Amino acid sequence: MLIEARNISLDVPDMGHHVLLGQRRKIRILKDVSISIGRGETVGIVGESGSGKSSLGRTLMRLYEPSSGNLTFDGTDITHMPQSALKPLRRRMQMIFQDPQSSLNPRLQIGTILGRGLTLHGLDASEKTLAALVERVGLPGSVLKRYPHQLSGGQRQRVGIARAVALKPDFVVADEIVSGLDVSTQAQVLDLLKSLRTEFGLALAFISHDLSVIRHICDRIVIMRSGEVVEAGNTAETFRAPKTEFTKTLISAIPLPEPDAGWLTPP
Amino acid sequence: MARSNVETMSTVIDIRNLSARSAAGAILRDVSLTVNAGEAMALVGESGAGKSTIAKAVLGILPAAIRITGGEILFDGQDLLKLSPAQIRELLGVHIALIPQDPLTSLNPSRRIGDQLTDGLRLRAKLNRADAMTKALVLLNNVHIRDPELVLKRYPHELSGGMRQRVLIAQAFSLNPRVIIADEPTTALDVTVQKQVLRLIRQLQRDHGTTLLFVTHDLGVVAQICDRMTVLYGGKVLEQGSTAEILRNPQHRYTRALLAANPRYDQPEQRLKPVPDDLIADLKREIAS
Repeated sequence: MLIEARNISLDVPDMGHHVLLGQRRKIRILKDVSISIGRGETVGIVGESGSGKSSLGRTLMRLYEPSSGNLTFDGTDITHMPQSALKPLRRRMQMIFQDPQSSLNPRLQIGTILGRGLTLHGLDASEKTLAALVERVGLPGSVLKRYPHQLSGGQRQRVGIARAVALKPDFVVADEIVSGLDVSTQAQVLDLLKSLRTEFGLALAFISHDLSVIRHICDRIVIMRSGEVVEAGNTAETFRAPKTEFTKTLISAIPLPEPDAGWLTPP
Repeated sequence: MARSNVETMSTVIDIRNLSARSAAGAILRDVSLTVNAGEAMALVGESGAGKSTIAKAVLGILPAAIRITGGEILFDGQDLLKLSPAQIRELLGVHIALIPQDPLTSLNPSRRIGDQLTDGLRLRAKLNRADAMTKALVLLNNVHIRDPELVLKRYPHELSGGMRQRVLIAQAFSLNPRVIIADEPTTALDVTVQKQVLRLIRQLQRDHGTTLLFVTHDLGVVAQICDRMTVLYGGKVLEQGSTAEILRNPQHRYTRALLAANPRYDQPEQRLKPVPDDLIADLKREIAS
């Protein structure tokens, strides 16, 4: 397994609890979570708001330091590794964010945004490389001279993807990357992600609240609730025979585009 | 028999040849649609289709940058576009009400739920404070909020998203309007909460015989809650009819393309197909002419 988390917990200060002196009370937002992702494999992390799915994604990226448990990346223990030591590994682990509008610097041209990551890691950021990069994600070369606000939502998300794959990473966390998009654009972006996954042999953590999308793109699935893993397994298997009531409820809450007189009737 | 039923149905909203423009170009192109009494009509489309613009035009709350260039919106035979702002205010809440998309920004953060919920009851139904509060309790009960007495004293930020949306639904139904316009009312909610909220809207709509104009991009939601649907693209109506018929047998290529792009968990082997570029090009040409 390329990335492996064992019994990870994450505590954060409870901002709702006011103290005069001393330390804030902590709340545990991830409880004893285990998850592993191999090369070329896509694991869906699903849950409702507040379930801890984004916190888990960020912890796997080591943007957060686990409070307990064990996290390894390609055999190296990174659980408590300092940021300076993590830096060389950063090239190999990349993140695509939900809202490309707020994750792209509005004052920089796309070319500068994409070039910066490459330069930081001492890689070639020539015009030719950048042109090939945007072409790979299906954008015209002219976007390099554009600013984020001049692009559509789908185009911006492609830039977000280009930025992540520019460094030829091994592990990518995609956090709700299609949730703001129209279905047609969503289909395009998912298509792109699938082909890049194959091309780079990516280990992909795909975080989403949308089980239908998860069903279409993930090999395995991890269902979360209140910071805990409720159910985990092969995607097809889990949809065919969910093991927990919670998963059943989640699946049956998805409206399908064909009228079903019984769907809205209370159980 | 179904046919005679349709013929006796009365039209509540009759939009005729509505066109609108902004500085960037046409927003609505010759839109005609009718909504019958007591039915739920969906306005469906991707971003830029004009579905929200139609809803805002009916409510008389279009942003200043959008100008109506033609057509009429008949509500009970009266053209809403010819009314003065004061006359429209008389209608809003009492005859036509809105369930907005974002329950957090639609509630005043600095006022208690009880005060906001009783505004309409006091101003329009002329109830005194005590009577309005009693009615508000009943309304919160109707939207299945537990401990309604406590919720009346809460501020919006103290409630969950689902609870806030229930409060807004209670508010929309509070003066028993003939028409409710719901603008993506469940888009911000988790699926399990969405299902409860949709169930609630449908139940209240049936109980009160309310006419519902439901704006959404989600074909699944349309299928479960709307009797009829209107498919829009680039401000133009492409297809209109019974939800069951359109979803089973879509007539327009674009509607078929939308369905093919929509991921279904029960059809994982279906490859998701984006709306084809040549179809978009055809549509743009068709629209421009």
